[in-house]
Amino acid sequence: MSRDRRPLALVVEDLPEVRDWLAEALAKAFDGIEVGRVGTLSEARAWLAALESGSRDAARLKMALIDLGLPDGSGIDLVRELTERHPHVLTIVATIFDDDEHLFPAIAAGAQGYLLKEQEPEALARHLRMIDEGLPPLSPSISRRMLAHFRERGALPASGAAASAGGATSAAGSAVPAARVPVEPVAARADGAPSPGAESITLSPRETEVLSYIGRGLRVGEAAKVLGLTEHTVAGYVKTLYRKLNISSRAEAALEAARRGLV
Amino acid sequence: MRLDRHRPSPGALLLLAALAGLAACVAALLWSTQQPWMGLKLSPEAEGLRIEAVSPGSPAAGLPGAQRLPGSVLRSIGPVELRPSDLIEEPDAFRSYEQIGEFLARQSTLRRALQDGPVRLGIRAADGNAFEALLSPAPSRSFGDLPPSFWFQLFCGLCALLVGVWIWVLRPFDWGARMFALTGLSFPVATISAAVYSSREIAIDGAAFRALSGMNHAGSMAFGMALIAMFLCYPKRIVEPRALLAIPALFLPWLAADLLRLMPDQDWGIRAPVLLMVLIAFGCAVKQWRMTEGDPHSRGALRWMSLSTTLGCGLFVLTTVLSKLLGWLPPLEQGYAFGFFLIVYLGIALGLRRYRLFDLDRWAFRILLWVGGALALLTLDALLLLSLRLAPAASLGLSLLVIGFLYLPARSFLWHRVVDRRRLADDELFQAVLQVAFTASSDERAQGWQALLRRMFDPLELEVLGPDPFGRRYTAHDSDRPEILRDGLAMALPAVASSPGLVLRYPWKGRELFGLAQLRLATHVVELMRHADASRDAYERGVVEERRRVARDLHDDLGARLLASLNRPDLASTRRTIREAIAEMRSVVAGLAGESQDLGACIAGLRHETASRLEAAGIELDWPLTDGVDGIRVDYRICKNLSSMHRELVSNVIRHANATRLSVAIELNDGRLRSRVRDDGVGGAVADAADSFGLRNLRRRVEELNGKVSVADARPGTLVDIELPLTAGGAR
Repeated sequence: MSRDRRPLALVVEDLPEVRDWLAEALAKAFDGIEVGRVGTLSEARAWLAALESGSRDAARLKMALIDLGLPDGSGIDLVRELTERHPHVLTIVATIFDDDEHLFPAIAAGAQGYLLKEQEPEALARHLRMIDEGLPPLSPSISRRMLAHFRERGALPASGAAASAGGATSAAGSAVPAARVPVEPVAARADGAPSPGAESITLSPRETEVLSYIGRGLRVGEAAKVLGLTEHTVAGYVKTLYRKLNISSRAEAALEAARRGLV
Repeated sequence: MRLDRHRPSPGALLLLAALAGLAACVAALLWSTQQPWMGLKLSPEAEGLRIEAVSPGSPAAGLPGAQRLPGSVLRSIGPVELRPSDLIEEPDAFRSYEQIGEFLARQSTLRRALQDGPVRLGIRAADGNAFEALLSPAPSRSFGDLPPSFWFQLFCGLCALLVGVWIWVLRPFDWGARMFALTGLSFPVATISAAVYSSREIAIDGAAFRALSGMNHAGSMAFGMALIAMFLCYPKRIVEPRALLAIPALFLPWLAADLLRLMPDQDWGIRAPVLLMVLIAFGCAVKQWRMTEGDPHSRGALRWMSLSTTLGCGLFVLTTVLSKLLGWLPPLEQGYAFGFFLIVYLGIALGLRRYRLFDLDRWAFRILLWVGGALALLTLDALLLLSLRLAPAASLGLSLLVIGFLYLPARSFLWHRVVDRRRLADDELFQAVLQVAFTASSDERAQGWQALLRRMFDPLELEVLGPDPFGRRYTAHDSDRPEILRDGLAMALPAVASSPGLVLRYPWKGRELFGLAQLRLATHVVELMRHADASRDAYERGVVEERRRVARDLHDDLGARLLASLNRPDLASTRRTIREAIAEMRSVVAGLAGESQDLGACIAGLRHETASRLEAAGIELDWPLTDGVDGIRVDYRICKNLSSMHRELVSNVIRHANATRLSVAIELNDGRLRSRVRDDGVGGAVADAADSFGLRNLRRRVEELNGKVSVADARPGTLVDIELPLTAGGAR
C-alpha cells in the first residue's frame, strides 16, 4: 500500500481559483503530495473527521493551508483545533494581508507560518518549502507585535529590553551593539525542549534581538549577519518565537479560564 | 430678565384659591347650621305654610302628636301669622323695595321669636282641626338637614372658581383669561350667599339677609361685567384693556343704587342691569364673530365659548329673570338654575383641548389633577383630625398607633407620588445627557432631549419653536442661552441636540416657577449637551473624512493600477501590476487601523518588502537602518504615500534599470524626512517617458504631501531624492 504513505495536505480556501492555485503550489513544493481541497470551516472539519477515522491516514497529514476569512467563520479556529489535535501538522495561514492585526492572532493560535496568496506559484512553493524546513517568515509588524506582547508580560530579559524595536541604536552595517551581554539565562533551555510552563514563555536575549532587528526592517539573513550567526540559527529562533507565542497565549487563555471559574 | 421671587407658582395659586373656596363653603355651612331649628320641612300654601315632613331627631319630632304634623298647615309662630311669601327662596322676586323691607322685618321678628325659646305654633291639621303646640327650637341645625340645593349651589360656585382660577394661573398675562377668571371669582360670591339664605328653614336675621342678598347682587353684576369684558378681549381684542374700566364705571353706580334701594324698583335695580349685561356680552360676541372671519382658529374657539356662555347664561336668565319679568314661564328653583352656569365652566374646560381655548391644551389638566390630589390628601388629614377629636378616650391610643404606623407612612408615600416633585440626581443627569448626545439619529436625539427636559423640570407644556413654512422663526427668542420668561412661568432653551429651540412652561406641573437655580442647571446642561454635540459632530466628521480618504485611495491607487493592468501587453506584466495593486490595497487597509502610524514601523515594513523583492530579482540592497524614527507618529497619508513611492521606484528599478544594486538612505532632520534612492542601472529615467505613469504618480504623491522630489541622472544609474515635511500641515 505505497499509496498510503504519500504525504497529505489540506487546503481550506473559499475561492476555487485560489484553492487550485494553492494546491498547485503544494504539488510544486512537495513531490507526490496528495491535496484535499475544501471551501468552508465545516467542510474542513468534516474532512478532518473522516481522516481521523482511519488512523494511518491521519499520520499522513503533513500540512494545512488555511485562509483566515472563511464564509462560515474564522480560519483561526481551525488553526487552534489542528494545533491541539494534530500537533505534528504544519498549519500555515494563507492570506493577502500580512499585517499584525490579521496574522498575530493566527500565530498565537499555533500557525507555524504564513503565505501571501498573490505570489506566483513558484514563489509560493519556495516559501512552503522554507516553512517545512523550519524557516518561517516573520514580518516587521509581527515582530513588533511579538515584542510588545512579551514586554507587557515581563517576559523579556533585562538586557533584551534595551534592544527592543525602539531602543536599538546600531545601523545594519555596524557591529553587534556593545550593550548586548551574551549570557543565556535558564529560560534559554526552552529553545531546545519547550515545556508548557512559566519559564518556557520568557524570551532569551538572542530571541529578543532577533525580534528587534526584524522589527526594524531587516530580513532574517541580514539579522543573522548583524548578530554574527548563521541564517539557519536565526530562523530557528523565529520558529521558537512562534511556538513561545502559542504557548504564551494558551497559558493566558488557561489563566483567563481559571479566573472566570471555567476550569 | 425680571425675577420676582415673591410671586407664587401657578400650582400654589390654584391650591390657594381652592382652599379659599372651601373655606368660604365651610363658613357658609357653619353659619347656616348655627340657626335656631324646629325641624320642619315647609312649603308655601294659600294660608300659611304646609308641613311636608318632620326631620327625625329634631325638636318638632319630639312634640306630642308629632305624627299629625305632616300634611298640616303651620299658621303662626308665636305672635306672627305666617304668609306663603315668608318662605320665598329669592327675595328678588319681590318687585318693590318696600315689599322687601317688610319681608326682611318679618324675617327678623320670626328669627327672634324662634331664638328666644319656646314658641307657640298655630297649626291646622289636615282634618281641619286647629291646635297649638309649644316648641323649643334647637340652637343649631344638623348638617344633614340642609336641603340638596344648598350643597348644589356650593358645588356650582366651587366649580366656577376652580375653572376660572385654573385658566388664569396658566395664562396670567392674557386679558381674556383674566376676565374669565373674574367671572369665576364673582360667581361663587353670588351662589354661596344665595345658598345660605335660600336654604333657611324659615327665617334668618333680616340684616344678615340683606347683606347676603347684597352679596348676591354684587356677585351677579360682577359676573356680568366680567363676561362683557371677556368678550371684549377674547379671542380678538376689541378694545384696549384700559377701556374695560368703562364697564364698572357704568355698572358700579347702578349696583350701589340698587344696594341703597335708590332705584324705582327691583326690576330696575337688578333685573334690568343683568339683562342689559347679558345683551351687551352677546353683542360683543357678535362683534367678535365678525372680527374672527378668516381666522378659523379664533373662530372655532369663539364658537365654543359663545355657545357654552350663551347657553348657560341664557337658560339661567330665561328660567329666573325672564320668568319673573314676563310671568308666563314655570319658575325653576333658583338654586338649581345656577346649575346652568356649570355649562359655561365645564364647557370651557371640555373645549380646551379641541379648540385650544386661551391657547391651552390637554396638558393643562395635569395641574388640576395635582391640585385635586393635594386637596384630597389635605381633606383626608382634616377628616382624620376631626374623627380623632370625636373618638372616645379609650380608643384614642389605638388610633394614634394606627396613624403612626400605617397612615403617616402611607400618606408620605402618597404625597411623594402624587404631590411632591421628583428631581434627577446629578450622575443620572450626566448619564442622560450623554445618552441623548450619542443617540444615532437626529430625530431620536431631539426626542431624547425633550424627554430629558421633561424629566428635569416636569413642565406642563413644552413648545417646540420651529421655523414657519417660509423659513422665518416665528418666535422672538433667539438667544443661545437659556432664559427665564414671564417672571419664571416659562424658560426658553436654545436649539441643541438636533432639537429646535424650546419653551418650557409651568415647571413641576405648575407647582413652582423657574428660578435662578433652574436657570443655572439648564445653562449647565445646555453647555454639556453642546459639548457632547460638538464631540459627536467631530467624530462624525472624522468618519466621513475617513470614508472619503478610503474612497480616494481606492480610486487613485488601486483603481489606477487595475486600469493599467488591463492595458498590459502580456499576462506576466498584467499579473505583476495586479500584484502591485494588491500591495497598494494592503497599504490602504493598514491605514484603516488608525489615523496616525508609527514612522519606524512604516519604514521597517517598507525595507522588509523591498529586500524581499530585490532578493527575488537578484539585486543587492544597501539600506542602513534609520535612527530616531521609532515611536514617531505621523499621518497615515505620509506612510501610505512613502510606501507607494518606494514601491514604485523599486518596481521601476527591477523592470527597467538593469541594475545590480539599489541603495536607499532615509534620514530625519528637523521634522523633514529625506529619502534618497539610487540604483546603478542604465539611468536615463528622466528622459525615459515610456513608463510615465510611475513618474507622474510620484510627483502627485509628493505634491500631496507638500514635499519635493528630484530625479537626477546619476551615471551610472538614477538618483531620486524625496523630501517630505512630517508636520500636520504637510500631511494635508
